[in-house]
Amino acid sequence: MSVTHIGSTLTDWANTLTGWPGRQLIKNLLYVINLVTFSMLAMRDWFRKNRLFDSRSYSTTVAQIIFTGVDALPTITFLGLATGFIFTFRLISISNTLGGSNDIVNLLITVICLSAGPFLAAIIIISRTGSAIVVDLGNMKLHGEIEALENLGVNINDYLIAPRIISTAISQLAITVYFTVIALLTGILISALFVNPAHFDFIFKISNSFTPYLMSIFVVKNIIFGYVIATVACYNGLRVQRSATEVPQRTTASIVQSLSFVFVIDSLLTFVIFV
Amino acid sequence: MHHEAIIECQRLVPEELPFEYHGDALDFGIARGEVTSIIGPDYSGKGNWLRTICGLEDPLSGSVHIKGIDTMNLSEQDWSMTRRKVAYLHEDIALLSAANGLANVLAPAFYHQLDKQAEKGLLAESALELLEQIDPDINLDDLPAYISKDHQFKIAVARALLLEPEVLALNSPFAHFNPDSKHKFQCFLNNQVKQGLSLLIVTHDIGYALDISDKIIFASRENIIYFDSPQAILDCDLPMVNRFIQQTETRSAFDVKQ
Repeated sequence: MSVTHIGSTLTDWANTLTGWPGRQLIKNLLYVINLVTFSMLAMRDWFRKNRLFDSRSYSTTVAQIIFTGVDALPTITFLGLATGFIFTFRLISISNTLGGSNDIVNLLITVICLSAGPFLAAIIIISRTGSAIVVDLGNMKLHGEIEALENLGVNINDYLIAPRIISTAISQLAITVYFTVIALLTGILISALFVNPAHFDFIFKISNSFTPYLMSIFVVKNIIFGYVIATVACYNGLRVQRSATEVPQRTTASIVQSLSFVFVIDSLLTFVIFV
Repeated sequence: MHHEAIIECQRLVPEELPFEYHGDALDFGIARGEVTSIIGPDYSGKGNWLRTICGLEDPLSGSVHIKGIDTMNLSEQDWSMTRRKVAYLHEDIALLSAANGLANVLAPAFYHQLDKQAEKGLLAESALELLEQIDPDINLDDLPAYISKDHQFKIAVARALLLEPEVLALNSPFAHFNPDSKHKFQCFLNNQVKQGLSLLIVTHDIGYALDISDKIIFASRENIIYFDSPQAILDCDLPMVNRFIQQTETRSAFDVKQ
């Protein structure tokens, strides 16, 4: 093997190695662009016809909210109680050691309201609603239900996709509010009952410290999470083509992608807001 | 009956035929209340011809106009309108698996806001009336998974007809029917045609096609031939057409004997 040939092979390897991150970056960027376009088209079709409470899409939206929000309440309640006991109670009970109660209030708002709440709710929505949407749409696509509807002039974006995205975003917000309230109240009540009755004051301190600015961050973050989870799920559901084996494959892909997106968006928002 | 064409095909050749096609292009139109059957040997691309005529597949060449609109240049509104005016169903058409029979019939009508044109109760009443005409024995409370194939197809037909299409395009509609229910369903179709519905049908039931059709299209892998009357195909002296008619006649005679 000549020196020139070895050099050429090494250059090829180096190109392959250095090119790989670039190719991955381009691939992921294109995927994000696809997702954004997909969701924008669905929302455009929805808003163009102004059907928020129209009978045609109303039932789908409500059914999805009931499944995503109401049916998830037992799980969310359990998680809220556990988080309240593990985090809120522990943080409040060591408030004297850590410093002033204001620091604890800020810590609770940052950790429970703005981080743990949205994140845990997102994980539950990804595992329950996200996977259900992929299986539902994937099977509809597989069995020709979507094609049959389209052949009757039904716009799938408007009829199936947008209601799922909207209802998941609404449910994510509602679930996080519920989770946060349970987590905070549980910790404060246990702490007040078993450690110091004065800890009841944390209820008022937290509500007074939850400024409109923090409130808007809370709302925006949750809506983005819900929007992204549903978009990824719908997109993957509609990518099912002909084989039943594609349904679990797309479900797994959707869960992994949604989790990754939630992590990335959470990090970006944290960076933008707090740094 | 007036003869303004609802669908008009000019020099049409489908793009998605599953074989190389070197035959003629198709020129024909379908007017209100007319019945056109597409017949021919198996695997001759009849379904592709039907789907292209309905504007569901792109033509390789030529054009299809539905209500005067070129199907290659449809706006979103035109697309929705053409799909409602020309309802296409194939033998294995899928219903919404999460909705029962009646909800399946009503869903597209609600989507198209027909409940605003008529009262909601009236729409449900029309749906029930239609289903009663098609088959009074259909169980409308069950999910499609628990409904037989022929009843599923009848529900799909009712779902399409509730949108008041001008053309009903059916691809092998009698595939899941037993002889008795097939006859009843054919009578229902005949009544719909008398009321002004146009029918475009791909069928292996040559007797029915000859009996009901105003026009017949014979599709084979080699060529497509348009006949402006059932008598014209019977009088045709082309060997491939004769062979097909004779084969189906022999088969029908054999079926009757069996």
